[in-house]
Formats: sequence, C-alpha cells, structure tokens
Amino acid sequence: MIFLTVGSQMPFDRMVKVVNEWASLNPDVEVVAQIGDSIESFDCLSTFSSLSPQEYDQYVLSADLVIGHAGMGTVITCREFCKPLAVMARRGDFLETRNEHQVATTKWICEWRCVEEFNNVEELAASIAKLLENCSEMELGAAAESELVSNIRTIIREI
Amino acid sequence: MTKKILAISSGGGHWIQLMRLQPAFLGCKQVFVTVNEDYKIHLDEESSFYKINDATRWDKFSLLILSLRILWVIARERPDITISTGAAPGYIAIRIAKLFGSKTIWVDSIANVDEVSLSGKKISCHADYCLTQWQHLEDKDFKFLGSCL
Repeated sequence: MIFLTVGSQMPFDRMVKVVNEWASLNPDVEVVAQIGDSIESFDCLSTFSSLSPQEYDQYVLSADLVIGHAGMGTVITCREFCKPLAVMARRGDFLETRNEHQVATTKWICEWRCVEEFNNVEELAASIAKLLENCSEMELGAAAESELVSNIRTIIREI
Repeated sequence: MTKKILAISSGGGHWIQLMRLQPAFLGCKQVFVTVNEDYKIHLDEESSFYKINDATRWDKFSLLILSLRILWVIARERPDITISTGAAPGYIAIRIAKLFGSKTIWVDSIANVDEVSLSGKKISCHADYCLTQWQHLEDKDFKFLGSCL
C-alpha cells in the first residue's frame, strides 16, 4: 500500500492529480490518500479529507512508501517510522502555501537516503521505483534524543 | 518546587516538532495548548490540555478570539516557562506570558531553512530565548542549540 498525504492545512490538488495519474497506470497498487478539503474527485485513489492522528500514524506505519508534501510533520513522521518518502514541494507562487519554504525543505531532505523529489508523473514513477528498490526502510530513524532536547532541558533547569 | 511549563503550537509540523522536544519537559508540570483535540493522544494523563482555534495573521477576528482564549489559559495556569514551536498561537502566548512573568522560549521551525520565520523575527525582541534549528541562521537574535531531529 502507498499512503499519500497533503498535511493538515490546505488541499494540494496539483500533487494529488499526479498521484492519481500514476495510480491509473498501476491499478494493482492500492493508494490511500488524505487530500484535505478538495472539491475534485480522484477515481484511482481511496480518499479521505482528513484523518485522526491515530489513523494517520497507522497508515504511515502500514505503508510501503509515503508520498507527501514537503511539510515537516510528514517528513518527521516518515523519519520516525523509517518510511521511504516521495515529496513534492508546495509552491508559494502558486499559492499552495505562504512562501517558498517547502522548496528549501525539499532541497535539504533530498540529500537524505530514501527521500526523492517529484514534480510530474514520470518523476513520480522513477522515484517510486528507486525508493522501493533501494529502501525497504529509511536508513536513519530519528535519534532517540536530540542535542536540542538536552540543551532545552538545561535552559529549563536554569530558569 | 516543580516548575510548570506551557507548551503551545499550531497544528501539523509545528506540533510534531513540539512533541520531539517533549522529553526536555520531563520533571515539569506540563500544560499543552494546540489546535486539534485529537492531538491529546500523544500526551500522558498527567499533562493538562487546552484546545484553541487556529488563526493566521491575516484573519483579525480569529486572532482576537485566539488571543482571549490564550489569555484565559495563561491567567489560569500561570506557567513558569512558556515554550513554542510556532506559529501565530506561539507568538501570542509568548507576548501574554511575559506579562505574567513567565520565562519564554521560541524554537523556530526546522522548515525555515533559508531564513527565520516572520513570527520568529517579530517575537525575537520579546522572548527570553530564541532558537533557530539551523547553524547558518544563527545571529545576534537567534541562537543555534541543535535541531529536533
């Protein structure tokens, strides 16, 4: 199963359309999609507008691969659950988010193993093939405790 | 005496990052404030939880309601420390918490790779500690003490 998520805020139809097109070419793969309050219909995906945190975690856990926008919630969750991730950045100039921060995030996380960027159905097909071949699991789970946590603990102690 | 910490964020990645910082709050009495009731599932039973409405800085009416709600929560809880990973609710909470004598910590989202967020820039003269999660963004206002990953 592939799990697609656009995050908790706005729909991201540009990405969902690409995934729907890919799914139409790969009818044997189940794609579960959380698509926000979109008014479009996507006939090759099993869609939900939103999911509870438990349902969301459950779908990420049971997915072979996650397709998502380049939001940090999606990115960190995939990293914690060691799931390969294909991302498309929301663009500020298309009013898909408030500025170009997802473009910058994408540039950074694509340096990780098991994260691939796509912008169209050809790139998505290549990303999925590459991720499924190379990454049964993401290499790095998130560290149990970050340096930031211990530094904030020190600040709290000193306050 | 056990310190009380109020941790506040909007939804999605802001909340996930706040949860990544939660181990640092161990030993404090913890109060969480966010936009989605369902996020309670991430917390243990000893933590207090308040739901707030979400608002962006373009929506003045929601901002007013949000500010009143946060004022009520802070007046009631009187935290020693207030920490936020953004965005609008965190900005408002830090401004209000200062009035009640709370120490305040702003952790700018790791999503801001190229520059610190607008809320971050605006809160930097008010918060006691302003942290960026990117070394290259460290400056006189923002300290780098690691990232939540």
